[in-house]
Amino acid sequence: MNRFLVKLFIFSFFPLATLYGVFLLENGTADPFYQRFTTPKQEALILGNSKAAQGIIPAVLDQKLFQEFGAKIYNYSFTVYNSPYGPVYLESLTKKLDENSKSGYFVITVDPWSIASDINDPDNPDKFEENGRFLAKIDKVNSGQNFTYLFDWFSKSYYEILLMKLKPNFSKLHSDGWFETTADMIGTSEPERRKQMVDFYNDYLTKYRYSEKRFKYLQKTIEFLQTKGSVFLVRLPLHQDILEIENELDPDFDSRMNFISQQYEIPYFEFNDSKIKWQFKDGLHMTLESARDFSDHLSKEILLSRK
Amino acid sequence: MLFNSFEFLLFFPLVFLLFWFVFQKNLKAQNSFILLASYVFYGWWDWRFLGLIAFSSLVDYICGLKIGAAEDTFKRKVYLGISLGVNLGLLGFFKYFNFFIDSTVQMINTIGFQANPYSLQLILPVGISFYTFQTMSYTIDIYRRKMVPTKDAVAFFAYVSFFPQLVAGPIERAANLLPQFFKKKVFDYGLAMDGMRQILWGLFMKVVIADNCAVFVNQAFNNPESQPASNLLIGAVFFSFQIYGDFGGYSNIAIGTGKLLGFNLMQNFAFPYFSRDIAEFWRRWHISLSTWFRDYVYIPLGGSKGSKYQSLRNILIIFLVSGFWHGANWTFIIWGGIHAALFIPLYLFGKNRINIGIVSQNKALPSFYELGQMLVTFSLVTLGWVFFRSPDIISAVGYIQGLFDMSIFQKPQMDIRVYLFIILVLIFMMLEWGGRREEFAIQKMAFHKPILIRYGLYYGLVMAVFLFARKEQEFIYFQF
Repeated sequence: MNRFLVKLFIFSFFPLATLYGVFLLENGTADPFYQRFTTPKQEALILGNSKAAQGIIPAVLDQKLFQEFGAKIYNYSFTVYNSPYGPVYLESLTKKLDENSKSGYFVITVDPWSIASDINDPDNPDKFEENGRFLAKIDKVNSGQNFTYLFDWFSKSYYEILLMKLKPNFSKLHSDGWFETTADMIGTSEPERRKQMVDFYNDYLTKYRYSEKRFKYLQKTIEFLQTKGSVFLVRLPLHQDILEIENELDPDFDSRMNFISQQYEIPYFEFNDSKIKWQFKDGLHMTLESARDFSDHLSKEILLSRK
Repeated sequence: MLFNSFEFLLFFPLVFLLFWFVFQKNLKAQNSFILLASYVFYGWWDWRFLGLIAFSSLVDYICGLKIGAAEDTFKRKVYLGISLGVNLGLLGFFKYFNFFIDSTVQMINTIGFQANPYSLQLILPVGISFYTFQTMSYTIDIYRRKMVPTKDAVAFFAYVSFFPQLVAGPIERAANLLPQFFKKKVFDYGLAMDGMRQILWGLFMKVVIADNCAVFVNQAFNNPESQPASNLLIGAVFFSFQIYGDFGGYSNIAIGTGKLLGFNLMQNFAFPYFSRDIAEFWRRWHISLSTWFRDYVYIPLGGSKGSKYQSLRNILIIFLVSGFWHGANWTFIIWGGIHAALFIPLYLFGKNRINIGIVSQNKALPSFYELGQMLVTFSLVTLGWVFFRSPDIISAVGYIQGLFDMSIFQKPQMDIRVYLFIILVLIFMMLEWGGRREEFAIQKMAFHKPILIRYGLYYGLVMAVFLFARKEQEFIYFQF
């Protein structure tokens, strides 16, 4: 028996060590979220869903705002499914923040989906859809290798980590949290992709409703972050087709945000009023060029608001 | 609890260590522990159905004793009838109730009368098709005086619920497995190592081959009408490997797990895709079920002893029953019928037992003729699987029609990873070919090579399992 156990123990070491080595190779090309749980705690965050994850580039913001705030910003945005405002996202971003930070800054991106829910009782946080997803289940969000995420939530088989080293990648989660994707990954034209998105969000429209509770949690999030630094409320630009759906979901959305802006004395930037024509991959997510331009534009607006 | 789950990864080492280090003192302790572990294993899925397996075990335990004690044939028949009635009743109720009701309603509606569909929201208890067959073999064998009943209730209950093979077989005969519960287990290094190799091979079959083929199979079968024939061909061929990897993999893990606890379970698959005709395929595929039907249905019906007509009837019956055993759907019955139709000509021409041994026993490679035979058999089996996988007969016929189209020469419209898995399937088949003389492919593979090569092979397989694992995928045969 001892011989058997010793042999098994010794043999197990080699594949486990190799697997650990494979995990070390993951640099954001195989999984769109993993690295967000392996990077250190941060002093400044971008919050929101996939529009912010793809559309706001921390490195561009840092060029103008690092001097102003003395902190590099990290994109901690996920998706409509995973990171609407609520107890789960608030707890997760609290963990991601450096406890000692007092002078950071926070870009809170908002849209009607981020304060809406598709459950029967949209004001019951116990039933919020994200409760069963990874943000709720992951305790440590800054560990070098996040085994909870790797074993339970990694979106692909691990061979993809190696495969992505060999083939061209259409997406990459950068070390600053920016999720870079190219339109090529979808393989169709922009109008086709936009039509798909419109259909998709029209379907959402039949299920989602404004949630007072989520709105309260957005307020709580702002209150908490104000103790850690400056807060900026941002509504990202969209294609008109998608904007109309959002406005149908919550016609009072902008008034709510203006109310919050006054209540907490924070700036609210609504970029859909802007005359600048941004380019989108699918009506929702900005192209790489537009994301760069937009991030630069946003950093200028933030600087202006502080004068 | 799934074999390929994190829970089992914790459960089994704990069971293994407790079994060999704490409960090794005496036989009673070993059996009691196996019984407890088996009930935990089964109850993990749904504890409410533990009552069902305990009830089935109790009925057969008592009926076995009564049949054994009775000299009067009538009494023996009564107790056998109770045992069969209870087991088939449970199976019939949980597995076939809705099928019979729906089919009857459809038939009544077809002939012009009106009947309303009525069905119960029944959950199919996992493994019920396996353990009911296993316990029936016990009472039938006692009735036939092929074995004596046991008074050791713990051993009997442990035999019925033995967790490695409880939910998806192999369907063990009492004559093989039950006596193993009467002998105190002593750790056997060679058997344990063999078990580890078999588990590794089973995991490779399930996690690397079956689960990854499933992705492309689902794409092909979910929407066949909108896909080129080349996609459908890949879907059908990959399903052949999915079902083999899934079920053969489960059997290997089950048998290997049994070996680690000192038990020898029967071989369930013997390299079926190297069969040279359908008859050989059925001697190599799901052996525990086909021999069960042979011994408890085909032979009692008269087997091949009666007239040609009776023999053909018996063959047809066991193939149809075998199909129906797999599920309450006409597709499974048609699948059984197809195999009967392929088998019967061989039987009529006396060719059903010409390919008994291992293909190319003393050669490294098959002859072109043997290769042709294997490819034809594989193709026929694959066509049969289309019915097995499709949700209904119309879909299956549509799928097969879709295969016969010029678009079979088109480049498949599938994710580029399909080529990676074609290569993996080829590697899998090469390893199977290399190990076809053994119980499972890697049983003695590279034994005479330097240790680095042998352990390199195991290392490669373990890494493949780690790297290609998808999120926990259920075993297909759990539903049967």
